[in-house]
Amino acid sequence: MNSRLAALSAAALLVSCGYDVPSSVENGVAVVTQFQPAANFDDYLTFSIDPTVVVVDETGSVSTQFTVDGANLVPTISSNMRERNYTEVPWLGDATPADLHIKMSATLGDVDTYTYYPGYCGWYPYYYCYPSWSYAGSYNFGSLVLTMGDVKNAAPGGGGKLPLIWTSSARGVLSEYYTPGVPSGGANVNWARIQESINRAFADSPYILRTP
Amino acid sequence: MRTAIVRIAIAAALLSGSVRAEEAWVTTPEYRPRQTLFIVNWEITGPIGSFGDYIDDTSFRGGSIEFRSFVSEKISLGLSFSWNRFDQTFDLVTAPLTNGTASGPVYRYADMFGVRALAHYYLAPGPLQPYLGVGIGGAWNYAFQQVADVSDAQENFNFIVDPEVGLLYWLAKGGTSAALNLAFRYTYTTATVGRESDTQALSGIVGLAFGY
Repeated sequence: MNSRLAALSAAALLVSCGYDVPSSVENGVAVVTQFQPAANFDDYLTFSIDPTVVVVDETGSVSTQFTVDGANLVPTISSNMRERNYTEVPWLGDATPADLHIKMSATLGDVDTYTYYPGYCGWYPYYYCYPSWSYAGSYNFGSLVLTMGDVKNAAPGGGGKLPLIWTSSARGVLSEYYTPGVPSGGANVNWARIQESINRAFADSPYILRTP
Repeated sequence: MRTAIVRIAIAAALLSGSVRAEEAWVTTPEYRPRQTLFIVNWEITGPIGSFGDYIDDTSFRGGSIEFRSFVSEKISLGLSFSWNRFDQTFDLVTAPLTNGTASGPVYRYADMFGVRALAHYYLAPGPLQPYLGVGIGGAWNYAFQQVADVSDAQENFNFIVDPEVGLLYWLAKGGTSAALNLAFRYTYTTATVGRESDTQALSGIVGLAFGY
């Protein structure tokens, strides 16, 4: 009898083996930043920001691409760059005479944001340390990618592509705020959440600095 | 004389009554030395070393069962099975990557199942029985991390060794004896959780021991 009670007690200790990921984590934003090791951020003086966000929607069976206006995000990026002693030049298109071009793109769905960039910039094959990380959610998706292209040192005849010296990906930042496949024009986007992720990306990148 | 006879009669009656009472109350078989201990423990465990860098919250979810068989008056050999769960949520973690960083809210979790061969040396007989012990065996570990909607996990089987000091406080003796088991244990494993290896922990143990 005693041994039976003891065995039941032992079994009770092993009950409740599940675990719950807090919603603050599931709905949180992961920001990954990477830089080109050869880049010297002190070499650049001016920057310009393209206010257009290229959105790649992978939530449906067919990938779609559209653009939305990201002008709401430009001041956040701009203030971070100006705080680091860079001078802003108004965006006049890909021919804008600035040392650095900063572009925004967004991906919706379970997309590897570290290997796909639409259109404009080239990509250095950086090593990413978490190749085994996998998608864990079913609803919390949507990433905003910032890229910093090096106009100053771009090779002639680069086919319109620039070498990147810095990238940032805020994963999960768009969450459920976009309706898949429907260009929202930013009407239902949580801009404050995105701006917070941009600020964190710069805070995580203290090497982006021009010595005064 | 009559008084003396009455006193003897009363004494005899009382004595016979006490004998009957003893027969009525003592139902356990005759006492015999304990040959086997079966112990159920509750374990409160705090990660230390690199494991403390992964999770530093104390775990209150853990337990073990032990079987000890005496091979001499002071030495027992046995086997134990244990389970310990650790988890913690971090509001913001910034981790270095190659040429960059990753940051975000993080949930970390680790389960550790251990199976050990046990050896214990009992320092003194009696109702308070201090002992020294060691367990050597293997531990299956499962560790999980989630940042926003991406996750990673590690699963491995490793070496485990854990010396301990303890005390058995015998509450009842009989055919089956019962004791309170109090112990303090240091655990070392070669397990890897997240980026941390050589998992270590300190445990406070409270249990109930049954001796047969």
